[in-house]
Amino acid sequence: MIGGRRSALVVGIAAVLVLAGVLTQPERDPETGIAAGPRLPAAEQSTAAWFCAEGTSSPDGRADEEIEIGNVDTRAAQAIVTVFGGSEVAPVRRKYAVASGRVVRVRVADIAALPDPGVLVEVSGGRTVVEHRISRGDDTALGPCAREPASTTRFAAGTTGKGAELWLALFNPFPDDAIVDVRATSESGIRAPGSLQGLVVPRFSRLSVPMHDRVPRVDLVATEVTTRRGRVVAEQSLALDGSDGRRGLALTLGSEAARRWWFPIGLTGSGHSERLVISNSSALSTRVTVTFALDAAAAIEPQSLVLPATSVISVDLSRVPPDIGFSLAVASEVPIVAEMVGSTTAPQPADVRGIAADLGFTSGAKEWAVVPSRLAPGSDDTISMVSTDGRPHRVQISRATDAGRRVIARVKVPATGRVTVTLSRDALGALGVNVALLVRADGPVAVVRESTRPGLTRSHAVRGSPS
Amino acid sequence: MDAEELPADAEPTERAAPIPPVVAIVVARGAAPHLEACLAAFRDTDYPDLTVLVVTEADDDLSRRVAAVMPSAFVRSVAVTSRAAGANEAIETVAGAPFLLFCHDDAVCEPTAVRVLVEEAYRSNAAIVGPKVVDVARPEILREVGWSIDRFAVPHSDVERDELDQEQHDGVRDVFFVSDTCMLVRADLFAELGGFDAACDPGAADLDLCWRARLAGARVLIAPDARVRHFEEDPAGDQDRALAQRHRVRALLVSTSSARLLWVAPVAFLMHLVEAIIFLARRRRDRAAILLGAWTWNVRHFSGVRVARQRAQAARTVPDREIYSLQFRGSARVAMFLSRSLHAEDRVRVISQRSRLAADTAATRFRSVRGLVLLVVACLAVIGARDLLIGRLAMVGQIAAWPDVSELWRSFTSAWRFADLGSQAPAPPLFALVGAIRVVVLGAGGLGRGLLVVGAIPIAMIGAQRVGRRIAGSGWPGAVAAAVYGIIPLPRNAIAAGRIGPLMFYVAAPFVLLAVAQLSGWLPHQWPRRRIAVLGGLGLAVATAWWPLAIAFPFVVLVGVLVVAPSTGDTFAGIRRAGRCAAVTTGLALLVLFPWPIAFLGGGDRTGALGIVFEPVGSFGDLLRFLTGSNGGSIGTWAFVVVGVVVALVASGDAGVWAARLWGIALVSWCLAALPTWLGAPSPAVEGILVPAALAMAMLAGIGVSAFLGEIRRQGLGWPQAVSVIGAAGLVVATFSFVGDTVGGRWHQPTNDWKETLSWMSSQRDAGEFRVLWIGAPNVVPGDIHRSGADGFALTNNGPGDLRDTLPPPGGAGYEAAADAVERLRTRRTVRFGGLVGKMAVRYIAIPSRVDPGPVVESVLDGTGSGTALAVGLADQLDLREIDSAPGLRLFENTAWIPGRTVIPVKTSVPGESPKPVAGIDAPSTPSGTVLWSQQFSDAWEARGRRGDLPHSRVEWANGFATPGGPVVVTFARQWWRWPLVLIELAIVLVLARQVLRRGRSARRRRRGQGESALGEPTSVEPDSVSESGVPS
Repeated sequence: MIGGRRSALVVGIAAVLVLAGVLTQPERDPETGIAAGPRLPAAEQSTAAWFCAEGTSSPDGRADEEIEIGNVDTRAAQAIVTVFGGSEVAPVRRKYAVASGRVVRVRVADIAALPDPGVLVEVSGGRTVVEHRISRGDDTALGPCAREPASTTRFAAGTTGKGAELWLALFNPFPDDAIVDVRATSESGIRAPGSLQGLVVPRFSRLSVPMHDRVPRVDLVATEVTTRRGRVVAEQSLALDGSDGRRGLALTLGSEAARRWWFPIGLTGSGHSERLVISNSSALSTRVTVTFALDAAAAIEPQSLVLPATSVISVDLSRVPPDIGFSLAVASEVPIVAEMVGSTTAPQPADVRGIAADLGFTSGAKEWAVVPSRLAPGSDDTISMVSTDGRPHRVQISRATDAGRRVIARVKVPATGRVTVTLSRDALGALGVNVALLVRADGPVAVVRESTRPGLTRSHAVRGSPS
Repeated sequence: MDAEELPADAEPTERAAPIPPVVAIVVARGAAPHLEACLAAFRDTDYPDLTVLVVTEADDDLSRRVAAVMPSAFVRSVAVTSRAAGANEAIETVAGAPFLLFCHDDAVCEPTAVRVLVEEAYRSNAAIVGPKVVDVARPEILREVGWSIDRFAVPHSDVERDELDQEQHDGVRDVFFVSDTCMLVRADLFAELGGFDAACDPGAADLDLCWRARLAGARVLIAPDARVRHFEEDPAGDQDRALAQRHRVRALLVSTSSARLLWVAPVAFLMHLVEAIIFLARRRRDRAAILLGAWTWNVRHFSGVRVARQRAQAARTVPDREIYSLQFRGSARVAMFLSRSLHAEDRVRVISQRSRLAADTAATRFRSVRGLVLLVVACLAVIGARDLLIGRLAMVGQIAAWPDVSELWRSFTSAWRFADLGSQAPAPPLFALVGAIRVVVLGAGGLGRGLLVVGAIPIAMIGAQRVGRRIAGSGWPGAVAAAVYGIIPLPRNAIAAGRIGPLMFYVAAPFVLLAVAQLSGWLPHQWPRRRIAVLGGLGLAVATAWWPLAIAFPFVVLVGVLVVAPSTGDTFAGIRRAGRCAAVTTGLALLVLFPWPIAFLGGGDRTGALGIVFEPVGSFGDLLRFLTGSNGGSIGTWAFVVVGVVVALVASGDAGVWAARLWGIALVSWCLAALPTWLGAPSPAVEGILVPAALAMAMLAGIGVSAFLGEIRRQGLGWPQAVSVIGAAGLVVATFSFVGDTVGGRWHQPTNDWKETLSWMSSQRDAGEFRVLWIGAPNVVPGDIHRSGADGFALTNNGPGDLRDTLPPPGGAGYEAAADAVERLRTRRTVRFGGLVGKMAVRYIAIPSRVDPGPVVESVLDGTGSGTALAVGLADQLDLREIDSAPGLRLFENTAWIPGRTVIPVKTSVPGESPKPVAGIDAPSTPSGTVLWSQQFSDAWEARGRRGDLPHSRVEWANGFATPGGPVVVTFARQWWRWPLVLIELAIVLVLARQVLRRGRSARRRRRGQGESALGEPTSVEPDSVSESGVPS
């Protein structure tokens, strides 16, 4: 081989190797956050299951349960509701058709009267979201059902003080038995009673754990449910009888711990109060920063505090001026759980009093489903939204009809602070009570619905596509 | 003992216990000199209800002798042609006794022997029980404690000759047979089996009886607490030896199952033939005649064998695989030879002398340093894999368990592939190849696999040395090429990851390259071109049988040469000729593999069938260093490419031309390996894709040595030499890495595997045929997989799978249904995944997150033990039940499973409830309904019921047959065309093999003739084999 050809060969080899090396750069996986909470089925997802844990359906039950199946799609959907009463009891199934944009309400007691019913809803066809509502006397609470079991489920703002009933519902709709461990974190540290360790949740059954009996008379109880074996859906309800001034019923679907939390709704003063509870179940203490955004043209300094390892605290919100709505965000160095319990008491009118638990949002999304849009005729319903990426976003609220999608409102979510949309009967039309809404934004937002009269309820919207 | 004789204080319960009567049958033949001792022992026994029957020729003297010793004994005078025939008299003569005790007339039972035997028969529910047999004169000397046999019916005992009885063999245990010196037999079984086969006496009557009892499901035990003394018989003469040999062959032919007999009989005959040849060579014609005569005798008496066989097989309730565990593995003859011969002092001395001689010879051959280097590298390669040979080769990656030869043959000759969900496709020739290997290693599949893996690197080094010495020159260049090819981490990582296909390609590649280069005229050759082509084609066929993409290797070489043609000066005509040669080699390989390659032309998942399913290696640097796994992680692995670059700089002349060609091949190989990363597509096993580059770098190292030595001679030390020294230093560092990898003895291959962990699944077949669906990251799912998005999945039949599940054809509707189900799971589009795969007979769903059992890093896997998407999809499945499993695997049982051969009844007993499938279609009570035959739909499947053919319909992707009830037989109607194809396949292989062997013999003869005529002059190159390039060999 002559010199010129050799040079060409060596240069060619080097060129190919360098080019190949440049082209073959290892790709880095995009950092994708796992959004907590239930998720609206994707458009191409033909079937989905929803698991509703808490509630009763027997005549003397503590929380009469109603399932609400909302179809936000322009296609019709079908739903099969199965009520489990234990592995020894044959489950009862009913089929329902859900028209485009409509909500079907099913009282569980009409299907099967059971003290501990676990409800599985399998939907197919249009994109459908399932929530449930529990009632106790005049008090009502609602929230979305779960889309999947979790290996660890955390709740922050429980209480077992005087006049409080804190129920933990563990639902196992799967064919294998589950074993779970429950531990509670209080202001005085961790409590893990032996009776809450190794709890067996038999297949096809629901287990109700009275936390107020197991961990009695504790002002702050952050509950953590860990699945040792099998799969379980956990949900918590809190009933207050007014002994501490608050009265009402709240429902919380647990969450994973996260470093960032957003709360779009807050109001104090004139019978309104908010209690922000933060739980740190990790072995590391952490610095937590709470940032406020007022509805008025004013600002307050962020609040910083240190949260010790395995502890739970209630954040003092007294620096927030009264009677001004606000939203807040919580940031932490280690994953925590934050939950806000709002209450309305006297001097507010009796028909708007109540409590509502709101486990904050850990991430935003561009699409949210709100079902049901209205709790009852005559109620005041609002949708509050905050931006989770610090940028303003345009939001469109619409409902599906057979003819297509009808826009109800278009709003702009500011970079900081919230926007609240009041859902009027005029906008929703004659079917306002039974309409499912879809919220679409051009960026990640967090959406929560609040309803007053009768009582006070708040519920997360159900996120759609990832942000 | 009568009840009246019991002491007055005896417990009533003891008196109430019934004593089973035992009849001892003593067949007295000839003079029976020890009959008195035998009967006296029975007279003194402590067994209360023993009756003795002496069967003998009409002989007054013998009757008197019996009466003198044991007046209560019965004497039956019959014409006794053999001991077995005499013993069979018991069937007609004895009634009412549950046990028969057959005893030689020279066996002396100890007083407790009969009682112990009966007690053990009851305790262990045994049908045949034998005692420990010791010598009469020296009771401390053991004679027998039960027998085993090998698969060829050759008896084997753990007792050595004149072994002292130190209770080392005491312990009740199952044995294959007990000798008829003394054996207790359940009378009803004896009658049912028709007694001893008189045609097997002498020599194998006891073996035959116990074997048939085993087939009938009975246990055969040894109870060493029962002792019998036995007068040692005279050494067997040729006549007895011949009879025993033929009778053992008869027992083998009678009791072995038909499927197993297909290979056992030929192998047994082959072994006898080899043994006979050895005897002939040692001038022992009598022994050779005995061995071969055993077969001819059985052929002459085939009708009798057939009748006995029909009777034995009709009573069979136990399959051979259950009996197999009691048989001696390997050859008892060989083991006997080794134990008796090698342990002898003189033998040891002879072997020692021979070893010294061999060592001297080897030392002479390897006295050169380069020979020593090669030897050391090859030895290190074996040492580095020692645990794979001595221990167990883990079934990870594409390494699969090998089923029996009969199963492999059945799969190879089947027109229907049962892999995945089944399809009509020719079977891979790999089944025949592995079957042949199993025959060679006498059925020891583990040994065969171990030898393949352990021997891969040394054999590949031999191939590399053969190519290297022709390309780079003999001596050091060839040796270095071989050594570098051996220390490149590619094969070690292939072993670690279980990529056995690429490993076999690594072995075959040097031979194929040599053939292509010689055929193309780039290298000189001595053999005829046709023979080289056939050898190259056969080598390529073997590699392709293991790894289908190996078929493209000749064209990789061709393209590599083509891209550097401007710098090598290769002409268009030369490249065209090379193209023809590559096509010929490839064509011959395809011919050898015919008709299997046709399967790849069908629709379906071709990329999966070709193994293009893995995640690509993201770093080009790792590709250049051949770093595809945990082996060879040192910086020294850069040396391979550095040396290659240096060689490209310094090599000149013909060596420079070859350096350019090899670089072209390497570049093509590396680009092919990187291509999936560029395209974002799945990759083939990268260990296979990089083999051409590895071979090229090894050859370049050899050329480098040649150039280095040449330049030193010509110019003295200069910059090329300095750079070469750096490269050589890098190779030394790479060698350190190679040596370091040898420490573990497994090349980092796991010690355990999922197939071992889940071996319990194989016993679940009683509930119905089932499949296991494996899903997970493509690099951890064992077996040959398909892709579904980011996940890989594989289906195995009735357990964790074996070789029959490998190399699945592209598939069709069945594959699409399975892929769709997995995709739905992954994307959360179903909450009843079990229902989707239930009709596929998927009972278990295995989600491995590692290639072997072990702890999982939670942070990586999100605490689920599997990929996040898959884990989320699994979390809300309503018809999957999770089962406890080893760390690293999530195992689910499908509650919606439908067995593979099942009937879905028309009606159900519970109103409103869906009918539940009934597993099995063979029983007369099979209900009416639809037979669900869980194989991919084909109109060639046919079913017959009581009233004839059943209507066939498509049930989604599977087959359905409407049955009115009763047993159903399903058959594949197109099996007939497979047989001619098998014959054609065998004929092609035989013709090509003959071509190789004939040419080899004739070439040797010719060379000998030329050598003689030339009086020892070097062999000349054939006129038609001179290379055009004129490169000297």
